[in-house]
Amino acid sequence: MRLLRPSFFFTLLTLLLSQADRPARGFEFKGFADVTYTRSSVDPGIDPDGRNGSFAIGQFDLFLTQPLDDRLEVLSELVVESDRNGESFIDLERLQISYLFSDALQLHAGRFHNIIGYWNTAYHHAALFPATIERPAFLEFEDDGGILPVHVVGVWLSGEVATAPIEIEYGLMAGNGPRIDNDVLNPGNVSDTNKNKAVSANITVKPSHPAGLGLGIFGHFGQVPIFDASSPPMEIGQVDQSILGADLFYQNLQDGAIGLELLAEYYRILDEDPKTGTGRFTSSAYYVQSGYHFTERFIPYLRYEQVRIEASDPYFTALGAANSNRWVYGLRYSLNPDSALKAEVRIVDQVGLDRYNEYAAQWAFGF
Amino acid sequence: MRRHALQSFVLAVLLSVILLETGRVAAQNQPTTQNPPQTMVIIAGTSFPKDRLTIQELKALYLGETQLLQDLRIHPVDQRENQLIRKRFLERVVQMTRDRYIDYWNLRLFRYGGFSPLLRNTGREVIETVREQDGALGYVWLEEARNEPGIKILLTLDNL
Repeated sequence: MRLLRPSFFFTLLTLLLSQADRPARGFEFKGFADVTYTRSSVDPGIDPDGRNGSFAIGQFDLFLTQPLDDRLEVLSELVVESDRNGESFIDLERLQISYLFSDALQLHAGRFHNIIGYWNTAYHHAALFPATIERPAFLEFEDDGGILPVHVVGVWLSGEVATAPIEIEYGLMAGNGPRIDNDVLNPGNVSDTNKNKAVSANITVKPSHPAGLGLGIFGHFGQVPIFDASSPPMEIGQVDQSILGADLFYQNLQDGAIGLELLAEYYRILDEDPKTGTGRFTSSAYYVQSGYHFTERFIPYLRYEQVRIEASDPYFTALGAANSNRWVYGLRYSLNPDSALKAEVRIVDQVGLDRYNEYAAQWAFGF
Repeated sequence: MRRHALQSFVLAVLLSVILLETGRVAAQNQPTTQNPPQTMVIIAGTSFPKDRLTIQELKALYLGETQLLQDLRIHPVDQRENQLIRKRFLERVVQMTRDRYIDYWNLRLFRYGGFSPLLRNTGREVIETVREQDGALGYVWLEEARNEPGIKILLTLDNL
């Protein structure tokens, strides 16, 4: 992460203007942003400003794809975000170059969202696309306190095979394994701390009927070293990690799309410290989200999330993660395809720590 | 008391939105000015790798699910959102409303990258594009395509 500089906007503006008169197959540029108001009843000892109610500008997401020829393309997702002190930062969330061999095989290199679950590869960083205001808490990004490796730097093979009556999507990814630096997951943008590359794979089956249904399974395997806050950082542990899971989604976009929308993901996380021989720890996380399109634009929704961590799991202990339950109730109203109003109530139970409510409203938009 | 007021407010907002939406949908469903049935044709340049397409194949091309035909990158061409022909095409082939189609492409591009369909203002521009660009295909009214050199008809859709 780097502090935001005015030169960034100058560079971006120059890029856009230089592309303005390109022919039809120029770049695709989209911007996404949101303004969110949140108030909670959280213990002031945990969040001193929570009860005040606060407005926040969310992630300002700049998304570009540029075809280099009929098979080669570059995609980037650059996010400007602000921390609690109001400082703005730039994060290069995705940068990938891709070569299309066929519809069934595409090769990518760069930084991607890890192919675990549906949410992480569908919605990325724009608040406009998901029905809810926030991601499931356990799928938060690494630098927002996330507990799963949601970004990978490396190579990725993907493809779609349509063989009626089903369509199959698959992915195979290999890249730098994450590390934990002083309680925070670090996806390893420029280096890997060991020779074992992290590997992820997924496969999703989408039947023709009912349209919009998908069922997937996925896995991620890696070695996660744990470093303390000393300078230079000392390696204080290491975890061999396997994440196995399944997802289900049902989103029918056709024929006016009035009706049920369903998303669910389950993760089983197996951690083992091979050096201490303390055995294998098994934790889990899942969410189930359902919405109903009363009209094309109006969706009330409900989500339940749960995280269960086995006591003394070295990975989650290093991240400071704990058991939690969370209910989310909300409404989304799309003003048009590029703008949506959302309001939601969350009941958060951080088991053994605090139980509180959050109230949030958001205006998410794209341009 | 405050909680009761808040619940009432939320309920009122909810009902207002439902009523507004119901009215909007009802208005959309009102018959508009009747147009006589027309015939739409799917056209491509003469070097396009196929001579015929089914509606399912066409749909897969316009949704980006099929990107290559016989090793050639395909470039679907759309007409502007305010064109009647686009509305008819989305209803008959893609089976999505205007908003859902835009949603779909916004999300697909964001998720997978790739190219969204090219956008042209008129049937004339569509004809010129498919004639000049390898792998391009588009939709126009039959009358617009009649006697046009350098193009071929891949599919005819009647009674639109």
